[in-house]
Amino acid sequence: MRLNCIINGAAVSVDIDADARLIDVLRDALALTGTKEGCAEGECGACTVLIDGLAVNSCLVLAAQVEGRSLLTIEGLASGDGANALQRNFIERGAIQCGFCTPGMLMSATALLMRVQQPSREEIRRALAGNLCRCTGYEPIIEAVAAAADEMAGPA
Amino acid sequence: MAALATALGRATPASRLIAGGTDVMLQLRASGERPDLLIDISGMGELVFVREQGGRIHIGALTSFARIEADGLLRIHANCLSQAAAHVGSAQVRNIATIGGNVANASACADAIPALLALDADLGIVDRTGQVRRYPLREVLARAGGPRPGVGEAIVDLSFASLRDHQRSAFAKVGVRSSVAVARLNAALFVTLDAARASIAGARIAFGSVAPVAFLDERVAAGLCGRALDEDTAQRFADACAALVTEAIAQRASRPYKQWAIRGLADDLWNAIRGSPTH
Repeated sequence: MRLNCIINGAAVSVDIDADARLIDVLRDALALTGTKEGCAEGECGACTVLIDGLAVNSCLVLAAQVEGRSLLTIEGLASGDGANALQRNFIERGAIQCGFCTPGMLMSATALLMRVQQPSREEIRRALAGNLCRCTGYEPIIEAVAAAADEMAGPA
Repeated sequence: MAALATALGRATPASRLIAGGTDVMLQLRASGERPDLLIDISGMGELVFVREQGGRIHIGALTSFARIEADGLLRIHANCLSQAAAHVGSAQVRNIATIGGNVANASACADAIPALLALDADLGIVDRTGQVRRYPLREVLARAGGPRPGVGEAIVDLSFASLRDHQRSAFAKVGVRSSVAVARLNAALFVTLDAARASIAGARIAFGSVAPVAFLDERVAAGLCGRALDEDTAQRFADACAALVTEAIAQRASRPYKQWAIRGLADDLWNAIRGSPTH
């Protein structure tokens, strides 16, 4: 079957199997390999992408279900002149070590910041509760999201 | 809805319905099953709603847990369901997992089911003729052996009575993490207080993760009736919950853990009921 959707602002049309998972279509058919597969059962969050602004586990979504919808993957985060504020704060604050969880973390954080401009630490923790990191101990990640939110909000 | 009925008309026992997909996708991958027909209902926007009508709250089967958690009407009328929704999986899962899917899958640890049982919910189920019939959830869950709903059927909505004066509900859960955890135990309590709001006139309590599917327990509920909202009742309630769990999972390795964990869960339910404002 043919899937038509918007990915990172561009119209995409691709042949898929009716029972294909979204993550497989992203990685294998569209070469968008920034989205990682960790647990493959919706626990680790490494495969997080945004569908119409909502964070989802792409390992749990049928590719056919995104027909006509708008997706944002990690490849769509950076602006033309490089890393965005969230990505830059992840780098500067040691929120990345092995990096495998980082795309999913960034996508969950992006979904949060699209919804809440100045999230509390608790809101950040809850938004990222579905993203596992075995390296950082989480605190640098939470700091990076909070710092990015401050930076994006501008001077008080 | 007409298209759904047409698709249901083609369904066989080897067919599957998919809503949010958070259970079905895992099951298909784990089993290697290739359904002869995969009916995707996730795009049916008309099954996404929460509204009050005729003294009842109605929830569309495709309403996500994120929406249920955030819904103001449900916070007033179904605190136990709001709390259950907030405890489902991660933000990613809550964004797509649906209440209808949670009920249809009916796993032992499904968070919505104890809440819906405590609210005495019924289900609207459409069949392949397009006719919607209503069934009490407790009866659907008791269907022996078969899938819920059956072949050629789909849940389209759920409903329960609007909260009346002096009624309260609460949900509690024990898992290995404070969030994104499969329930080791979950339960929901619904009580009607007397006019003075000093004692319990009626109660329903449902338990999950202690049987193949969540269930209402009339013995524990009856033990609350006529009792004051005091520490003595709280202790009796915790004892009754512990006795029920001990009996329900007498042969399971998890019994020593759960017979103590249920006491904490009973405390959480009791404190929520005592502390929450009545409608």
